[in-house]
Amino acid sequence: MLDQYNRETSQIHAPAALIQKTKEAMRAEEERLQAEETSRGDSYAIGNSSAHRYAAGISKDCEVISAKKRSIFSYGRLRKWALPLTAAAALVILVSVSAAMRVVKSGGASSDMAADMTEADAGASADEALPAEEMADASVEAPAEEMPDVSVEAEVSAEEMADASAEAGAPVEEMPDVSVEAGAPAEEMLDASAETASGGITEASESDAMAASEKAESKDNFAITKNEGAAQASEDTLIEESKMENSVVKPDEELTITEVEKKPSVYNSSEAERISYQEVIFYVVSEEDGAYSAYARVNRSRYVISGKAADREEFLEKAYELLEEESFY
Amino acid sequence: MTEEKITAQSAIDRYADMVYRLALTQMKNRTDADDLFQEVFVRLVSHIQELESWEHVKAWLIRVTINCAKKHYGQYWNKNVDYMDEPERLSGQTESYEIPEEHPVRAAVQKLPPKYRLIVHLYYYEELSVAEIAGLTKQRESTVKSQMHRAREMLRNLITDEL
Repeated sequence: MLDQYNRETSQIHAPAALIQKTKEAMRAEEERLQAEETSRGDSYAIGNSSAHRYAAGISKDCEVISAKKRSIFSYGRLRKWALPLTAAAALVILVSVSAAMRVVKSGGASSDMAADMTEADAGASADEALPAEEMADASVEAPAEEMPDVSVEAEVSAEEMADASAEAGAPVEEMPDVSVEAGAPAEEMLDASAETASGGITEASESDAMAASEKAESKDNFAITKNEGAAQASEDTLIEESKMENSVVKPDEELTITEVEKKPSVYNSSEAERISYQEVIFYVVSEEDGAYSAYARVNRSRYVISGKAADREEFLEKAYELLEEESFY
Repeated sequence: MTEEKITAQSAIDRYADMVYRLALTQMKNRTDADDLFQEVFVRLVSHIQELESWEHVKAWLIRVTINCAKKHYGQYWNKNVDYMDEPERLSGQTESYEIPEEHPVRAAVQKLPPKYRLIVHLYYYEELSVAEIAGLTKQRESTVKSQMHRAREMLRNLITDEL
């Protein structure tokens, strides 16, 4: 049966016309492939040889276009090289910086250098001979609370500064050094005292110092601040918590208004009373000795007002006046 | 005796009948078979340099013919339209196309499903082994054997019914 299939199948032949037509199609395909190869080769040659380009009769415009292409190509090449080059440069810089940091951190010489840098920042050229340890001791022995007072006195005179250092418990040997420093302006002293501190002085104490320097601008303010020990302590606590930005002391009214960035502890205090006064909402906390602290928000600004008053109504009245002045409400 | 150089033109002279028979076995009508024939040899032009021997050329031609036929049947129109019942399309335009009355066995083979037609043709006419057929159709040898068995049974039934 399947032999018969073979016999029948072997009688089938591809038509001559079909073979002829297919051969023509194959020739056309071969020519097409050759033309493709030739054009590919020509374009390669054109890209590489300008003489060949002229021989091929390409116009000047084409030449300009190919020049642009070349420039783009070279730019691309540059970019290809630029990236690893930049990366390598960045790596070298990183390694050199890290090596430098390692050198600075390690070894006793580096600590001396750091101490020198601290001294230079403080602007105390007279203290160059003083070791870093003594500097640290001096700042540690002086309590953080006393630092603003010291800096305030520094503006007055060197003698007063020496007295203040004596009050702060500084050794007698270090007093001359301190007095030399005291000749500097109050701002420099503040920087020096803040930067030479080895941990005993916090950011809050720095801000305390700023507040105190503002107080020192007027003699009256200075006197009042000196007298109000307990009230100042409570103010310091408040300021410490609320990251003071700007503080204005109104000594005549015995109230302090402070603009703060975040809501202070007064706001969250369980003892705080929410009182609306002249359409301003105050969160008031009454403290000992007739002192009050209040938080109010006016014109998208937050304020902490603290101070003494005869009663709460008087405190609110004064606080409102202060707010008016401060916020142009 | 020096062997003939492998070119597309010499390949068509050598394997035109083989490809045409296989195309006729796979296609439902002669026009499609002609198209398949042309497509296979035109493709050969761009691949002839990759083929190292005539056996390689033969295997390549069979493989490409099968693939092109599968591609043809994969199209929706060709899947759903059958020209076998249209005598005018089957009427021989040339003297080389078989007439079913004169070739009853071949006519019976043409009635088999395409996969069985292919295996019967490759095994009995091209005399390929089961392993070679399995390689060309990318199937297991056991699958080819079972398909061959089923194809024989179907053919037997077809021819018995006709007789």
